[in-house]
Amino acid sequence: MSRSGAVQLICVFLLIAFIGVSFFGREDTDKAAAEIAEAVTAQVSTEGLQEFGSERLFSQLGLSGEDFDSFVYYGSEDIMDVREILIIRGREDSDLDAVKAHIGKKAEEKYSTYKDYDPVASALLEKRVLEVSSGAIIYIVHDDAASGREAFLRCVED
Amino acid sequence: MVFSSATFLFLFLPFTLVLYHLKLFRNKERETGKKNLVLLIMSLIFYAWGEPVYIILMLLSIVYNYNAAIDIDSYIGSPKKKKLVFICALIFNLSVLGFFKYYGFLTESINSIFSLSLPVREIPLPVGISFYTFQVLSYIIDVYRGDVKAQKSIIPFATYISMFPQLIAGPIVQYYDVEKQLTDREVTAEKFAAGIMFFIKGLGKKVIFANTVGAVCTEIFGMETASLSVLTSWIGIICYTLQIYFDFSGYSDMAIGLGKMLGFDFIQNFNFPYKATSITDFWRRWHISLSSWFRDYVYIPLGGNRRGTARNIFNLLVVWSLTGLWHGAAWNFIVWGIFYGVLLIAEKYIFARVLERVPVFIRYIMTMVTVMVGWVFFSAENLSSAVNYLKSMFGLYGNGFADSTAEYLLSENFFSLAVMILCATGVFAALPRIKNFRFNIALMSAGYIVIFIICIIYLISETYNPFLYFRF
Amino acid sequence: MDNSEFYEKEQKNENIPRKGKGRTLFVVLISVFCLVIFGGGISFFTGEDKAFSESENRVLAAMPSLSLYSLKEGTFMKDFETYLTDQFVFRDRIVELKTLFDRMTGKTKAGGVYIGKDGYLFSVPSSFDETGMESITAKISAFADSNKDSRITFMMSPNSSFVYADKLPDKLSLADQSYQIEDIENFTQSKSIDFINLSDVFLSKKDEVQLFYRTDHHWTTQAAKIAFDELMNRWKKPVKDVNFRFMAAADGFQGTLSSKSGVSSAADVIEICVPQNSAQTYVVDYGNGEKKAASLFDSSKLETKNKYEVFMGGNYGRVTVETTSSEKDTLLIIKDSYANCMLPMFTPFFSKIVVIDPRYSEERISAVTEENTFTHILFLYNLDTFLGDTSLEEKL
Repeated sequence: MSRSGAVQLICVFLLIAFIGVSFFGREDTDKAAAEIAEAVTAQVSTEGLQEFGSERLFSQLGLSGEDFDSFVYYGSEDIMDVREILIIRGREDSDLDAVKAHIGKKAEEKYSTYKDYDPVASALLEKRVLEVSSGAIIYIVHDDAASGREAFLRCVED
Repeated sequence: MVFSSATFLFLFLPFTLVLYHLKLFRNKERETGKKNLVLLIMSLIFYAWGEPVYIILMLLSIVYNYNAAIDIDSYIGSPKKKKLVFICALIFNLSVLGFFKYYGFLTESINSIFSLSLPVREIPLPVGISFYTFQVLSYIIDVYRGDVKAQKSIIPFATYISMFPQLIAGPIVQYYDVEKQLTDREVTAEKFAAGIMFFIKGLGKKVIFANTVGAVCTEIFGMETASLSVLTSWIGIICYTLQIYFDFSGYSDMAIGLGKMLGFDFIQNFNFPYKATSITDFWRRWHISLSSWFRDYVYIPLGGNRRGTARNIFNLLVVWSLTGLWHGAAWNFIVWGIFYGVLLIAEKYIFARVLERVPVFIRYIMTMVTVMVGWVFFSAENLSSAVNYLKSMFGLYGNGFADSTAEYLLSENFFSLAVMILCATGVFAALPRIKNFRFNIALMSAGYIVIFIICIIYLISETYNPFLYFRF
Repeated sequence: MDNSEFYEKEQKNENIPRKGKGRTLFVVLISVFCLVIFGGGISFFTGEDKAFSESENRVLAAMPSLSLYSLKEGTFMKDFETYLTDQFVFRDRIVELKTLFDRMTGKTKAGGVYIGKDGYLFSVPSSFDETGMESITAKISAFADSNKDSRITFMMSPNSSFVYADKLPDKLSLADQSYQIEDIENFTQSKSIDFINLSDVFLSKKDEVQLFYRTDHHWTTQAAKIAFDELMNRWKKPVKDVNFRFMAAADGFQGTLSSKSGVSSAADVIEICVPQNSAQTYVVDYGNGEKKAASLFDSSKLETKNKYEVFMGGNYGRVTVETTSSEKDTLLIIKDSYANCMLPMFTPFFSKIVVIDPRYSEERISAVTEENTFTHILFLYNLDTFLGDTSLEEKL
């Protein structure tokens, strides 16, 4: 086979590999929410925030903690402080896309309440991050939301 | 990256132009080599800016097809091997396009027809894949037919595939047309100035016209279809008709202009399609590079019109279903394509005689109404909403001819719609002109500069996003 | 007008720039084009980044942080474009120019605001969602039925686009808000709610009194006083015994509609209305004991862009007012911001007033009524907020 023929074959393999990696496969992470949260809070300051239990998770976001394998939820006592960090590690049967849609709706409502009312809070809400990956969810409203997201993805995808 | 963004206009473009025109070599060939390299690198950055992951796909396609073409060229003595490599290349390119563009559509259609439940996956469409795949195919087919020689050097080839002016929205440049320019081209001040004019014209079409009229049709399409009056729905589709033309031809103009700034001459992609007096005429003027592609690489190889009427009708239907499918992976696009196929066949075989006797003005109106009906299928999310919109256009909901919404929309947009219609139909272009060349150039330069400034004003103020204490 | 098409043919034919002829003119075009793109590019590097835009009153985008992930996901590129346009030179001037253009071409809508006659600006009214209204009125009825001991009144104001419909742009007709309020009244099943639709009284007085600000979506204090009189009449409270005085607090008021559209038209005057004769004083508790004050006004807000905040100093989830009034009655108001300028008028008639804005309150309203008993409960909303807001339903 010619050299150019070999290159064509390699290209075909690389293409199949690319499609496989991008769209099929990837296992759920085996890390618990606490471990993921640790990675996230290493990048994102939790100063002024405190960790809450499932009661608050329900009253704020309408989620029941028992539906998940584990979760970690940070928030603020001060109602005008909109910062939040939520990490959820789902169970096998949890429908995380539905949970994501639910949180997304809550976040949008909250945003529309603060939009045109508090510029700082709404700027924070504007750059909120909500993402599902490898069986876990991150929802973060924070100055450093982007780096929190990065730490999250790095942690669950590795 | 899109041309109508601050990143492109104020960072990417000036930076690229400097690197590109900075003269490094006295030797003309080496200078062109440097230009190609600069253009390739900047084009890859341009693509990666919008598609950071899918750039891998484009690179694979470049490397694969570069080698495949060399193989095809080298098997001149053995037609069988040559054919094998060629078929493999066709399969490779079509399956990449097929997977990334049509996977979701195919699995969904198969599931609904055979009531199966194959896993449906939403695969984000790589920007420009339909355009660059068609360019690659034109190259491979031309090499196989022996119309062009395979490009021996990978940089000019990669430059041809990835060239940023036409990369993401055409025109589909056939290799044959730019083969010489890839290794031998020149930029003069005159050409550069012409490029600027094309670019600004395109930018104006996109930013001033298409975006403005697009806002109106988004508003109308967002209303409850069943409650639209006849006039409102016609205003909506007229706006869409204008939007799609200004958007698409604007993009082509910008591409042609940028090409000229870099020394390339691309073929014209639009020639006042809304001046057409028949459907056949319309398709000679609309997205010319795509129709030529289908003519050269599908219609003629199928036998064109030389194998009798029945075969010709079959060929036309194949070409037009594919044209529809090329525009998007959904049934309404296929219907849109077949709609045109049938109309073209009818014009050719049934009405040809009749049409000759109809006054031009009537033919024009008929053509435009047909085209607008076509755009209903094109713009709709699915077939049933297209049918509903058509119902309201033809008054089947019984909401009357006009209501206050229609009157308000009309009075609000009358001026801008009038100007745009005059521009789109080429009335302005047909106005008599002063013959003084210098005067014309001066007027043109001033006009284009003003348009450019207006475009920037529109672009920046689009992001005006005041924060109000509204929530009281 | 775009004259690009005008020249298309010329370029194709005789006027494709050719060597020699008119060369200097091409050089002018090329130079100006390059000047603009290079100038714009260089200004990004030389200009100081602004963190906050005064005119848009919002935090501007900062340079996004670069990382492998933000590149891979493309968020960096998106944020970068926002950053560039946010920090663009002459941004404010450019926006002003655009507004000017639009007005010249006869646009009567800018930034989602209708530009009406006589300097009036109007927000686009929220749409009426019947199922949503049925479910929220059911909640309100249930609340009313569980508080039968209190006198419950629901007062709703239409918006300026309805009251001053004659000032809307020509040909524009909007939904009849009076009917919409009536619909809401009909949906409300509970017998213990007294409903006040302010549409008719406003329509009858719209020409003698300016009921809405021209550049803001709020009603004026005059309108609030008319509504107040209606309410007191229903409640059989002796308004006549108290002398109310209007005072101009600020002129040159350009409200939210003006910022939103970028159109500065006729400026308005903000008035305040205070009860005069009684020597009674009051203590206001904004929030849960966080901020105590002796006033329902915050005059420092008159120096800021949003002068309407002079009333109550903004929005609070819960405000408690304790007065020295000899009246025994107590009042709970569940409201949107229309109530802010009306609040001082209540002080002579109630010894305690609790004001809840469900949008910024975390507590459930039933918790408040369990904790205290009120002789009067008032729901005070403008139709637009009522249609667009979900927090009342959640908090009931």
